[in-house]
Amino acid sequence: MIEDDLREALRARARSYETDPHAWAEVQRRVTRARRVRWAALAAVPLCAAALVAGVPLVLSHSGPDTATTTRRTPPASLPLPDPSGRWDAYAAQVAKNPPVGGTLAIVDPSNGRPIRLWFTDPSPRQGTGEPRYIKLCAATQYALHGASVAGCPVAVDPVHDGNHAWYAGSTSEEWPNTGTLISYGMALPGVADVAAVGRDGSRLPGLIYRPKGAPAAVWTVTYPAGAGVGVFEFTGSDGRVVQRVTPDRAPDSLTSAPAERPDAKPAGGLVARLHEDGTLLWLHDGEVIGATVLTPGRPIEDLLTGERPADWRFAQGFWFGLAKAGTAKAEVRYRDGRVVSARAVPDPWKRGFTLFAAPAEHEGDVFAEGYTITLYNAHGRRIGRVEQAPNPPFWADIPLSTPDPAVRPSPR
Amino acid sequence: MTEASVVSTGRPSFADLFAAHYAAMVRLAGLLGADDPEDIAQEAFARLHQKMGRLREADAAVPYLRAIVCNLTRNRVRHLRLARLRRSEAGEPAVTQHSGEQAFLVAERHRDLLAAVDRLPRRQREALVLRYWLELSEREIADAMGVTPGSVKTHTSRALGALGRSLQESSDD
Repeated sequence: MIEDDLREALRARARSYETDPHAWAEVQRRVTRARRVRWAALAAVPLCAAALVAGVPLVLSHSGPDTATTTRRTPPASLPLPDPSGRWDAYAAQVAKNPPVGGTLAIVDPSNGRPIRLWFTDPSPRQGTGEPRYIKLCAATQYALHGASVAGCPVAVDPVHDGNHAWYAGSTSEEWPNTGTLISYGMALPGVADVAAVGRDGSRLPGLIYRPKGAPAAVWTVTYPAGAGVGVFEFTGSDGRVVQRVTPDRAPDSLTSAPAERPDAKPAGGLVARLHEDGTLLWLHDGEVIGATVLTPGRPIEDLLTGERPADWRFAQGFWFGLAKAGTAKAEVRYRDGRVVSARAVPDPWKRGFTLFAAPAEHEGDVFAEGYTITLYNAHGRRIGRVEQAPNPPFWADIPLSTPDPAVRPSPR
Repeated sequence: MTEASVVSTGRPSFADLFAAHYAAMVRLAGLLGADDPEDIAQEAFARLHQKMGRLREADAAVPYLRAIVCNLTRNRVRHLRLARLRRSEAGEPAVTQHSGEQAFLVAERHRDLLAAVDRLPRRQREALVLRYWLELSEREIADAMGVTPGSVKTHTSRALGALGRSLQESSDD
Protein backbone atom coordinates (compact mmCIF):
# COMPACT_ATOMS: atom_id res chain seq x y z
CA MET A 1 0.00 0.00 0.00
CA ILE A 2 1.39 3.35 -0.99
CA GLU A 3 -0.16 4.94 2.11
CA ASP A 4 1.75 2.64 4.44
CA ASP A 5 4.99 3.21 2.55
CA LEU A 6 4.34 6.90 2.72
CA ARG A 7 3.84 6.84 6.46
CA GLU A 8 7.03 4.93 6.94
CA ALA A 9 9.01 7.15 4.61
CA LEU A 10 7.75 10.36 6.22
CA ARG A 11 8.52 9.02 9.69
CA ALA A 12 12.03 8.10 8.60
CA ARG A 13 12.62 11.52 7.11
CA ALA A 14 11.11 13.26 10.13
CA ARG A 15 13.54 11.49 12.42
CA SER A 16 16.43 12.97 10.47
CA TYR A 17 15.61 16.51 11.61
CA GLU A 18 17.42 17.38 14.78
CA THR A 19 16.60 20.31 16.99
CA ASP A 20 18.97 22.94 18.23
CA PRO A 21 19.46 22.73 22.02
CA HIS A 22 19.45 26.53 22.09
CA ALA A 23 16.12 26.77 20.33
CA TRP A 24 14.31 27.95 23.43
CA ALA A 25 16.71 30.83 23.86
CA GLU A 26 16.16 31.79 20.23
CA VAL A 27 12.39 31.70 20.66
CA GLN A 28 12.74 33.87 23.74
CA ARG A 29 14.77 36.35 21.72
CA ARG A 30 12.11 36.48 19.02
CA VAL A 31 9.33 36.81 21.57
CA THR A 32 11.11 39.66 23.27
CA ARG A 33 11.69 41.45 20.00
CA ALA A 34 8.14 40.93 18.86
CA ARG A 35 6.83 42.11 22.19
CA ARG A 36 8.77 45.32 22.00
CA VAL A 37 7.10 46.22 18.75
CA ARG A 38 3.72 44.90 19.81
CA TRP A 39 3.78 46.63 23.13
CA ALA A 40 4.81 49.82 21.50
CA ALA A 41 1.69 49.69 19.41
CA LEU A 42 -0.59 49.18 22.38
CA ALA A 43 -1.34 51.89 24.84
CA ALA A 44 -0.59 51.24 28.49
CA VAL A 45 1.47 48.17 27.81
CA PRO A 46 5.19 48.30 28.47
CA LEU A 47 7.75 48.86 25.80
CA CYS A 48 10.59 47.08 27.42
CA ALA A 49 12.79 44.12 26.92
CA ALA A 50 10.93 42.01 29.39
CA ALA A 51 13.02 39.17 30.67
CA LEU A 52 11.16 35.96 30.83
CA VAL A 53 11.26 34.64 34.30
CA ALA A 54 13.03 31.35 34.33
CA GLY A 55 13.74 28.86 37.01
CA VAL A 56 14.88 25.37 37.65
CA PRO A 57 13.38 22.30 39.20
CA LEU A 58 15.08 20.71 42.13
CA VAL A 59 15.02 17.00 42.80
CA LEU A 60 14.26 16.55 46.46
CA SER A 61 15.86 13.15 46.63
CA HIS A 62 19.31 14.62 46.07
CA SER A 63 22.09 12.46 47.35
CA GLY A 64 24.79 12.68 44.74
CA PRO A 65 28.44 13.50 45.03
CA ASP A 66 29.97 16.94 44.80
CA THR A 67 30.20 17.86 41.19
CA ALA A 68 31.00 20.97 39.24
CA THR A 69 28.63 21.15 36.34
CA THR A 70 27.07 23.43 33.87
CA THR A 71 23.39 23.84 34.40
CA ARG A 72 20.92 24.29 31.68
CA ARG A 73 18.46 27.10 31.90
CA THR A 74 14.95 25.82 31.69
CA PRO A 75 12.09 27.41 29.82
CA PRO A 76 10.05 30.05 31.56
CA ALA A 77 6.39 30.05 32.24
CA SER A 78 4.04 32.08 30.14
CA LEU A 79 3.62 35.79 30.62
CA PRO A 80 0.41 37.10 32.07
CA LEU A 81 -1.45 39.68 30.08
CA PRO A 82 -2.31 42.98 31.67
CA ASP A 83 -5.81 43.53 32.94
CA PRO A 84 -7.92 46.28 31.36
CA SER A 85 -6.34 48.89 33.60
CA GLY A 86 -2.91 47.80 32.49
CA ARG A 87 -2.04 46.52 35.95
CA TRP A 88 -1.65 42.85 36.44
CA ASP A 89 -0.28 41.47 39.65
CA ALA A 90 1.59 38.57 38.20
CA TYR A 91 2.73 37.43 41.63
CA ALA A 92 -0.82 37.03 42.88
CA ALA A 93 -1.84 35.21 39.73
CA GLN A 94 1.12 32.87 39.85
CA VAL A 95 0.81 32.13 43.56
CA ALA A 96 -2.78 31.09 43.00
CA LYS A 97 -1.52 28.43 40.62
CA ASN A 98 1.74 27.64 42.38
CA PRO A 99 1.36 28.28 46.10
CA PRO A 100 4.55 28.84 48.09
CA VAL A 101 6.23 26.14 50.08
CA GLY A 102 7.80 28.11 52.91
CA GLY A 103 8.33 31.83 52.95
CA THR A 104 8.38 34.15 49.95
CA LEU A 105 11.44 36.33 49.54
CA ALA A 106 11.43 39.98 48.58
CA ILE A 107 14.70 41.32 47.22
CA VAL A 108 15.46 44.49 45.30
CA ASP A 109 15.94 44.61 41.55
CA PRO A 110 18.90 46.99 41.33
CA SER A 111 17.90 48.13 37.84
CA ASN A 112 14.70 49.81 38.97
CA GLY A 113 14.66 49.61 42.76
CA ARG A 114 11.50 47.54 42.78
CA PRO A 115 10.98 44.25 44.57
CA ILE A 116 11.51 40.85 43.04
CA ARG A 117 9.63 38.02 44.74
CA LEU A 118 10.98 34.49 44.88
CA TRP A 119 9.29 31.41 46.29
CA PHE A 120 9.37 27.66 46.07
CA THR A 121 6.43 25.63 44.93
CA ASP A 122 5.83 21.92 44.90
CA PRO A 123 3.80 20.39 42.09
CA SER A 124 2.74 16.91 43.00
CA PRO A 125 3.92 14.04 40.85
CA ARG A 126 1.38 11.98 38.99
CA GLN A 127 0.05 9.30 41.24
CA GLY A 128 1.54 5.86 40.83
CA THR A 129 4.11 6.84 38.25
CA GLY A 130 7.11 6.52 40.52
CA GLU A 131 8.28 9.88 39.22
CA PRO A 132 10.59 11.84 41.51
CA ARG A 133 9.15 14.72 43.45
CA TYR A 134 10.23 18.13 42.28
CA ILE A 135 10.00 21.58 43.62
CA LYS A 136 10.39 24.68 41.56
CA LEU A 137 11.65 28.16 42.22
CA CYS A 138 9.20 30.78 41.03
CA ALA A 139 9.95 34.45 40.50
CA ALA A 140 7.93 37.60 39.99
CA THR A 141 9.45 40.81 38.69
CA GLN A 142 8.08 44.10 37.54
CA TYR A 143 8.80 46.83 35.03
CA ALA A 144 8.70 50.36 36.18
CA LEU A 145 8.04 52.16 32.88
CA HIS A 146 4.42 51.15 32.58
CA GLY A 147 3.92 49.15 35.72
CA ALA A 148 3.68 45.67 34.25
CA SER A 149 4.64 42.64 36.27
CA VAL A 150 5.64 39.20 35.15
CA ALA A 151 5.91 35.93 37.02
CA GLY A 152 6.69 32.39 36.20
CA CYS A 153 7.63 29.01 37.46
CA PRO A 154 9.78 26.83 35.34
CA VAL A 155 8.71 24.05 33.12
CA ALA A 156 11.50 21.60 32.63
CA VAL A 157 12.41 19.72 29.57
CA ASP A 158 15.43 18.25 31.29
CA PRO A 159 14.67 18.16 34.98
CA VAL A 160 17.31 15.70 36.07
CA HIS A 161 19.74 17.63 38.20
CA ASP A 162 20.82 14.91 40.58
CA GLY A 163 24.23 15.51 42.02
CA ASN A 164 24.11 19.28 41.88
CA HIS A 165 24.19 21.56 44.90
CA ALA A 166 23.03 24.76 43.31
CA TRP A 167 21.13 25.87 40.24
CA TYR A 168 20.82 29.07 38.26
CA ALA A 169 17.25 30.30 37.86
CA GLY A 170 17.22 33.76 36.35
CA SER A 171 18.79 37.15 36.00
CA THR A 172 17.99 40.68 35.07
CA SER A 173 20.85 40.30 32.59
CA GLU A 174 18.28 38.66 30.32
CA GLU A 175 16.69 42.04 29.83
CA TRP A 176 17.81 44.47 27.17
CA PRO A 177 19.74 46.59 27.33
CA ASN A 178 21.46 44.94 30.25
CA THR A 179 23.42 47.90 31.48
CA GLY A 180 23.86 49.21 35.00
CA THR A 181 23.62 46.81 37.91
CA LEU A 182 22.30 43.29 37.46
CA ILE A 183 21.13 40.57 39.78
CA SER A 184 21.19 36.81 39.21
CA TYR A 185 19.53 34.25 41.45
CA GLY A 186 18.85 30.58 41.88
CA MET A 187 18.43 27.84 44.43
CA ALA A 188 20.91 25.97 46.57
CA LEU A 189 20.86 22.96 48.84
CA PRO A 190 21.45 23.42 52.56
CA GLY A 191 25.12 22.47 52.28
CA VAL A 192 25.89 25.60 50.30
CA ALA A 193 27.16 28.35 52.58
CA ASP A 194 28.32 31.00 50.17
CA VAL A 195 28.09 32.11 46.55
CA ALA A 196 30.12 34.41 44.37
CA ALA A 197 30.10 35.41 40.73
CA VAL A 198 33.35 35.18 38.86
CA GLY A 199 34.04 38.11 36.57
CA ARG A 200 35.76 38.12 33.22
CA ASP A 201 39.02 39.14 34.86
CA GLY A 202 38.77 36.39 37.46
CA SER A 203 37.59 38.69 40.22
CA ARG A 204 35.04 37.30 42.68
CA LEU A 205 31.85 39.24 43.31
CA PRO A 206 30.24 38.08 46.53
CA GLY A 207 26.60 37.13 46.76
CA LEU A 208 24.04 36.33 49.42
CA ILE A 209 22.26 33.22 50.63
CA TYR A 210 18.67 33.44 51.84
CA ARG A 211 16.98 30.66 53.77
CA PRO A 212 13.22 31.29 53.68
CA LYS A 213 11.50 29.81 56.70
CA GLY A 214 9.94 26.45 55.92
CA ALA A 215 11.36 26.34 52.40
CA PRO A 216 12.93 23.15 51.09
CA ALA A 217 16.07 24.90 49.82
CA ALA A 218 17.98 28.15 49.99
CA VAL A 219 17.95 30.99 47.48
CA TRP A 220 21.17 32.61 46.33
CA THR A 221 21.57 36.02 44.73
CA VAL A 222 24.53 37.92 43.33
CA THR A 223 24.40 41.60 42.42
CA TYR A 224 27.09 42.84 40.04
CA PRO A 225 27.84 45.49 37.45
CA ALA A 226 26.84 44.60 33.90
CA GLY A 227 30.35 45.28 32.68
CA ALA A 228 31.88 42.66 34.97
CA GLY A 229 31.42 39.96 32.38
CA VAL A 230 30.09 37.41 34.83
CA GLY A 231 29.87 33.97 33.31
CA VAL A 232 30.30 31.59 36.25
CA PHE A 233 28.80 31.33 39.72
CA GLU A 234 30.77 29.50 42.39
CA PHE A 235 29.25 27.89 45.46
CA THR A 236 31.20 26.96 48.54
CA GLY A 237 30.41 24.82 51.53
CA SER A 238 30.86 25.77 55.17
CA ASP A 239 34.50 24.63 54.98
CA GLY A 240 35.18 27.10 52.20
CA ARG A 241 35.62 24.47 49.52
CA VAL A 242 33.97 24.97 46.16
CA VAL A 243 31.15 22.45 45.83
CA GLN A 244 29.60 23.65 42.58
CA ARG A 245 30.29 25.87 39.62
CA VAL A 246 27.37 26.93 37.48
CA THR A 247 27.71 28.42 34.03
CA PRO A 248 24.34 29.64 32.80
CA ASP A 249 23.62 30.01 29.14
CA ARG A 250 24.98 33.37 28.19
CA ALA A 251 22.64 36.02 27.02
CA PRO A 252 23.78 37.26 23.62
CA ASP A 253 26.37 40.01 23.85
CA SER A 254 24.60 42.11 21.30
CA LEU A 255 20.99 42.69 20.44
CA THR A 256 21.74 42.58 16.73
CA SER A 257 24.42 41.42 14.38
CA ALA A 258 22.94 43.19 11.37
CA PRO A 259 25.00 45.99 9.81
CA ALA A 260 24.19 49.51 10.90
CA GLU A 261 22.59 51.89 8.47
CA ARG A 262 24.38 55.15 7.95
CA PRO A 263 24.48 57.77 9.23
CA ASP A 264 23.91 57.60 12.98
CA ALA A 265 21.31 60.05 14.25
CA LYS A 266 22.46 62.53 16.86
CA PRO A 267 19.52 64.28 18.38
CA ALA A 268 20.39 67.01 20.84
CA GLY A 269 20.98 65.77 24.33
CA GLY A 270 24.14 63.76 23.97
CA LEU A 271 22.81 60.44 22.73
CA VAL A 272 23.42 58.62 19.47
CA ALA A 273 20.67 56.59 17.76
CA ARG A 274 21.83 53.80 15.47
CA LEU A 275 19.47 51.89 13.19
CA HIS A 276 20.50 48.41 12.07
CA GLU A 277 19.30 46.77 8.90
CA ASP A 278 17.13 44.29 10.80
CA GLY A 279 15.17 47.17 12.31
CA THR A 280 16.91 47.28 15.67
CA LEU A 281 17.30 50.87 16.83
CA LEU A 282 19.91 51.28 19.54
CA TRP A 283 20.42 54.30 21.74
CA LEU A 284 23.99 54.84 22.86
CA HIS A 285 25.65 57.04 25.44
CA ASP A 286 29.42 57.14 25.38
CA GLY A 287 29.34 54.03 23.22
CA GLU A 288 27.21 52.06 25.67
CA VAL A 289 23.74 50.87 24.68
CA ILE A 290 21.19 52.35 27.06
CA GLY A 291 18.02 51.66 25.13
CA ALA A 292 16.64 49.74 22.20
CA THR A 293 13.53 49.63 20.07
CA VAL A 294 12.85 47.09 17.37
CA LEU A 295 11.18 48.34 14.23
CA THR A 296 9.95 45.61 11.95
CA PRO A 297 11.58 46.02 8.55
CA GLY A 298 9.01 46.77 5.91
CA ARG A 299 6.35 47.65 8.43
CA PRO A 300 5.19 51.25 8.36
CA ILE A 301 6.20 53.28 11.35
CA GLU A 302 2.57 54.33 11.68
CA ASP A 303 1.95 50.91 13.19
CA LEU A 304 4.30 51.78 16.00
CA LEU A 305 3.45 55.41 16.57
CA THR A 306 -0.30 55.46 16.64
CA GLY A 307 -2.59 58.40 17.15
CA GLU A 308 -3.28 57.19 20.65
CA ARG A 309 0.37 56.81 21.43
CA PRO A 310 2.32 59.06 19.08
CA ALA A 311 5.66 58.53 20.81
CA ASP A 312 7.78 55.73 22.16
CA TRP A 313 10.16 56.61 24.93
CA ARG A 314 12.15 55.45 27.89
CA PHE A 315 14.06 56.84 30.82
CA ALA A 316 17.52 55.40 31.34
CA GLN A 317 20.89 56.46 32.69
CA GLY A 318 19.68 59.98 33.38
CA PHE A 319 18.18 60.53 29.93
CA TRP A 320 14.71 60.69 28.46
CA PHE A 321 14.70 59.68 24.80
CA GLY A 322 12.61 58.09 22.13
CA LEU A 323 10.75 58.30 18.85
CA ALA A 324 7.86 60.54 17.90
CA LYS A 325 5.64 60.79 14.89
CA ALA A 326 6.73 62.71 11.81
CA GLY A 327 6.31 66.46 12.06
CA THR A 328 7.30 66.62 15.71
CA ALA A 329 9.74 69.43 16.38
CA LYS A 330 9.71 69.35 20.17
CA ALA A 331 8.82 66.79 22.79
CA GLU A 332 8.17 67.64 26.42
CA VAL A 333 7.74 65.57 29.52
CA ARG A 334 6.01 67.23 32.46
CA TYR A 335 6.51 65.60 35.83
CA ARG A 336 3.86 65.66 38.49
CA ASP A 337 5.82 68.26 40.47
CA GLY A 338 5.43 70.64 37.53
CA ARG A 339 8.95 70.51 36.21
CA VAL A 340 9.30 70.14 32.45
CA VAL A 341 12.04 68.57 30.38
CA SER A 342 12.08 69.66 26.76
CA ALA A 343 13.80 67.90 23.88
CA ARG A 344 14.23 69.05 20.30
CA ALA A 345 13.10 66.40 17.84
CA VAL A 346 14.89 65.77 14.56
CA PRO A 347 13.72 63.77 11.52
CA ASP A 348 15.22 60.31 11.31
CA PRO A 349 18.10 60.30 8.80
CA TRP A 350 16.99 56.93 7.38
CA LYS A 351 13.81 58.37 5.89
CA ARG A 352 11.51 56.06 7.85
CA GLY A 353 9.04 58.78 8.66
CA PHE A 354 9.56 59.47 12.35
CA THR A 355 11.53 61.82 14.54
CA LEU A 356 13.99 61.25 17.36
CA PHE A 357 14.44 63.15 20.58
CA ALA A 358 16.68 62.97 23.64
CA ALA A 359 17.37 65.11 26.67
CA PRO A 360 19.08 64.80 30.06
CA ALA A 361 16.31 64.08 32.54
CA GLU A 362 17.51 63.41 36.05
CA HIS A 363 14.56 63.08 38.37
CA GLU A 364 14.51 62.55 42.09
CA GLY A 365 11.90 60.10 43.22
CA ASP A 366 10.08 57.50 41.22
CA VAL A 367 8.89 59.08 38.01
CA PHE A 368 7.02 55.90 37.10
CA ALA A 369 5.15 55.80 40.37
CA GLU A 370 4.18 59.45 40.07
CA GLY A 371 3.12 59.49 36.44
CA TYR A 372 3.84 62.20 33.91
CA THR A 373 2.58 63.83 30.73
CA ILE A 374 4.28 63.86 27.33
CA THR A 375 3.38 66.50 24.79
CA LEU A 376 4.53 66.81 21.18
CA TYR A 377 4.68 70.08 19.24
CA ASN A 378 5.23 70.83 15.58
CA ALA A 379 7.56 73.51 14.22
CA HIS A 380 4.84 76.15 14.66
CA GLY A 381 4.48 75.34 18.33
CA ARG A 382 1.12 73.70 17.85
CA ARG A 383 0.40 70.68 19.98
CA ILE A 384 0.19 67.55 17.79
CA GLY A 385 0.22 64.78 20.33
CA ARG A 386 -0.18 64.09 24.00
CA VAL A 387 0.21 61.06 26.25
CA GLU A 388 -1.02 61.08 29.82
CA GLN A 389 0.98 58.43 31.61
CA ALA A 390 -0.87 57.27 34.69
CA PRO A 391 1.05 56.59 37.90
CA ASN A 392 2.39 53.08 38.18
CA PRO A 393 3.24 52.52 41.81
CA PRO A 394 5.38 49.50 42.61
CA PHE A 395 3.83 46.14 43.21
CA TRP A 396 4.53 44.47 46.55
CA ALA A 397 5.99 47.65 48.02
CA ASP A 398 4.53 46.93 51.45
CA ILE A 399 6.40 43.64 51.75
CA PRO A 400 9.50 43.93 53.94
CA LEU A 401 12.72 43.03 52.22
CA SER A 402 14.17 39.67 53.18
CA THR A 403 17.26 39.29 55.28
CA PRO A 404 20.06 37.10 54.01
CA ASP A 405 21.50 34.22 55.99
CA PRO A 406 23.27 35.87 58.96
CA ALA A 407 25.79 33.05 59.07
CA VAL A 408 27.19 34.19 55.76
CA ARG A 409 29.32 37.28 55.58
CA PRO A 410 29.93 37.97 51.94
CA SER A 411 33.48 39.02 51.40
CA PRO A 412 35.80 39.02 48.42
CA ARG A 413 38.36 36.28 48.52
CA MET B 1 9.33 12.66 32.99
CA THR B 2 8.96 16.19 31.84
CA GLU B 3 7.77 19.04 33.95
CA ALA B 4 5.02 19.61 31.45
CA SER B 5 3.41 16.40 32.60
CA VAL B 6 3.52 17.57 36.19
CA VAL B 7 1.78 20.83 35.57
CA SER B 8 -0.57 19.68 32.87
CA THR B 9 -3.74 20.66 34.65
CA GLY B 10 -5.65 23.46 32.98
CA ARG B 11 -4.44 25.54 30.10
CA PRO B 12 -0.90 24.65 29.01
CA SER B 13 1.62 27.42 29.29
CA PHE B 14 3.71 28.61 26.40
CA ALA B 15 6.66 26.70 27.79
CA ASP B 16 4.57 23.54 28.06
CA LEU B 17 3.67 23.87 24.42
CA PHE B 18 7.24 24.50 23.42
CA ALA B 19 8.49 21.47 25.30
CA ALA B 20 5.81 19.25 23.86
CA HIS B 21 5.62 20.41 20.25
CA TYR B 22 8.79 22.16 19.18
CA ALA B 23 10.46 19.08 17.69
CA ALA B 24 7.28 18.15 15.85
CA MET B 25 7.01 21.60 14.33
CA VAL B 26 10.62 21.47 13.15
CA ARG B 27 9.87 18.14 11.52
CA LEU B 28 6.68 19.38 9.97
CA ALA B 29 8.49 22.33 8.42
CA GLY B 30 11.20 19.99 7.16
CA LEU B 31 8.75 17.57 5.65
CA LEU B 32 6.98 20.42 3.91
CA GLY B 33 10.24 21.40 2.25
CA ALA B 34 11.57 24.27 4.36
CA ASP B 35 15.26 24.89 3.81
CA ASP B 36 15.64 25.91 7.47
CA PRO B 37 12.96 24.10 9.48
CA GLU B 38 14.24 25.37 12.83
CA ASP B 39 13.85 28.95 11.70
CA ILE B 40 10.26 28.26 10.67
CA ALA B 41 9.43 26.49 13.94
CA GLN B 42 10.98 29.20 16.08
CA GLU B 43 9.11 31.90 14.24
CA ALA B 44 5.89 29.93 14.61
CA PHE B 45 6.35 29.74 18.37
CA ALA B 46 7.16 33.43 18.57
CA ARG B 47 3.92 34.18 16.75
CA LEU B 48 2.03 31.80 18.96
CA HIS B 49 3.29 33.72 21.96
CA GLN B 50 1.81 36.91 20.55
CA LYS B 51 -1.47 35.13 20.00
CA MET B 52 -1.70 33.07 23.20
CA GLY B 53 -3.87 35.45 25.15
CA ARG B 54 -6.39 35.66 22.33
CA LEU B 55 -6.83 31.97 21.65
CA ARG B 56 -10.30 31.11 22.84
CA GLU B 57 -9.80 27.42 23.35
CA ALA B 58 -7.06 25.86 25.41
CA ASP B 59 -6.44 23.31 22.67
CA ALA B 60 -6.34 25.84 19.86
CA ALA B 61 -2.63 26.48 20.20
CA VAL B 62 -1.36 23.41 18.37
CA PRO B 63 -3.65 23.80 15.35
CA TYR B 64 -2.56 27.43 15.24
CA LEU B 65 1.09 26.38 15.29
CA ARG B 66 0.51 23.91 12.47
CA ALA B 67 -1.18 26.53 10.37
CA ILE B 68 1.64 29.00 10.94
CA VAL B 69 4.26 26.42 10.04
CA CYS B 70 2.40 25.60 6.82
CA ASN B 71 2.03 29.24 5.97
CA LEU B 72 5.62 30.22 6.71
CA THR B 73 6.99 27.23 4.86
CA ARG B 74 4.80 27.97 1.86
CA ASN B 75 6.03 31.55 1.76
CA ARG B 76 9.62 30.49 2.21
CA VAL B 77 9.49 27.89 -0.53
CA ARG B 78 7.81 30.37 -2.86
CA HIS B 79 10.53 32.88 -2.11
CA LEU B 80 13.24 30.30 -2.84
CA ARG B 81 11.57 29.31 -6.09
CA LEU B 82 11.44 32.93 -7.24
CA ALA B 83 15.06 33.42 -6.25
CA ARG B 84 16.05 30.39 -8.28
CA LEU B 85 14.06 31.66 -11.24
CA ARG B 86 15.78 35.03 -11.08
CA ARG B 87 19.18 33.39 -10.92
CA SER B 88 18.33 31.23 -13.84
CA GLU B 89 17.06 34.21 -15.86
CA ALA B 90 20.25 36.06 -15.00
CA GLY B 91 22.28 33.14 -16.28
CA GLU B 92 23.57 32.27 -12.84
CA PRO B 93 23.93 28.62 -11.97
CA ALA B 94 20.85 27.21 -10.28
CA VAL B 95 21.07 26.61 -6.59
CA THR B 96 20.29 23.08 -5.58
CA GLN B 97 17.31 22.96 -3.26
CA HIS B 98 18.36 21.91 0.18
CA SER B 99 16.06 19.18 1.32
CA GLY B 100 16.83 19.79 4.98
CA GLU B 101 17.47 16.14 5.62
CA GLN B 102 20.51 14.07 6.17
CA ALA B 103 20.03 11.85 3.20
CA PHE B 104 22.04 8.99 4.52
CA LEU B 105 19.63 8.64 7.39
CA VAL B 106 16.77 7.90 5.09
CA ALA B 107 16.59 4.34 3.96
CA GLU B 108 17.28 3.70 0.32
CA ARG B 109 13.85 2.21 -0.21
CA HIS B 110 12.20 5.49 0.71
CA ARG B 111 14.22 7.60 -1.65
CA ASP B 112 12.06 7.29 -4.77
CA LEU B 113 8.92 7.84 -2.79
CA LEU B 114 10.26 10.88 -0.99
CA ALA B 115 11.67 12.30 -4.18
CA ALA B 116 8.21 11.98 -5.67
CA VAL B 117 6.73 13.74 -2.62
CA ASP B 118 9.22 16.56 -3.11
CA ARG B 119 8.03 17.00 -6.70
CA LEU B 120 4.38 17.33 -5.76
CA PRO B 121 2.65 20.70 -5.98
CA ARG B 122 2.84 22.48 -2.65
CA ARG B 123 -0.76 21.98 -1.57
CA GLN B 124 -0.70 18.31 -2.42
CA ARG B 125 2.49 17.83 -0.44
CA GLU B 126 1.00 19.63 2.55
CA ALA B 127 -2.11 17.47 2.45
CA LEU B 128 -0.06 14.29 2.34
CA VAL B 129 2.29 15.24 5.14
CA LEU B 130 -0.52 16.36 7.40
CA ARG B 131 -2.52 13.25 6.63
CA TYR B 132 0.10 10.54 6.63
CA TRP B 133 2.68 11.90 9.04
CA LEU B 134 0.56 13.77 11.55
CA GLU B 135 -2.48 11.57 10.93
CA LEU B 136 -4.79 14.54 11.06
CA SER B 137 -8.44 14.49 10.10
CA GLU B 138 -9.63 16.27 6.98
CA ARG B 139 -11.07 19.01 9.14
CA GLU B 140 -7.76 19.51 10.94
CA ILE B 141 -5.82 19.45 7.69
CA ALA B 142 -8.19 22.00 6.23
CA ASP B 143 -7.62 24.28 9.20
CA ALA B 144 -3.86 23.95 8.91
CA MET B 145 -3.87 24.62 5.18
CA GLY B 146 -6.52 27.30 5.25
CA VAL B 147 -8.74 25.47 2.74
CA THR B 148 -12.01 23.55 2.86
CA PRO B 149 -12.21 19.84 3.79
CA GLY B 150 -13.40 19.13 0.27
CA SER B 151 -10.29 20.72 -1.10
CA VAL B 152 -8.18 18.58 1.23
CA LYS B 153 -9.83 15.48 -0.17
CA THR B 154 -9.05 16.61 -3.70
CA HIS B 155 -5.41 17.46 -2.94
CA THR B 156 -4.86 14.17 -1.15
CA SER B 157 -6.42 12.12 -3.89
CA ARG B 158 -4.47 13.87 -6.62
CA ALA B 159 -1.25 13.59 -4.62
CA LEU B 160 -1.65 9.86 -4.16
CA GLY B 161 -2.39 9.48 -7.84
CA ALA B 162 0.70 11.46 -8.78
CA LEU B 163 2.85 9.43 -6.40
CA GLY B 164 1.57 6.21 -7.87
CA ARG B 165 2.32 7.33 -11.41
CA SER B 166 5.72 8.63 -10.41
CA LEU B 167 6.68 5.36 -8.74
CA GLN B 168 5.39 3.40 -11.69
CA GLU B 169 7.58 5.45 -14.03
CA SER B 170 10.56 4.88 -11.74
CA SER B 171 10.07 1.14 -11.80
CA ASP B 172 9.66 1.19 -15.60
CA ASP B 173 13.00 2.98 -16.08
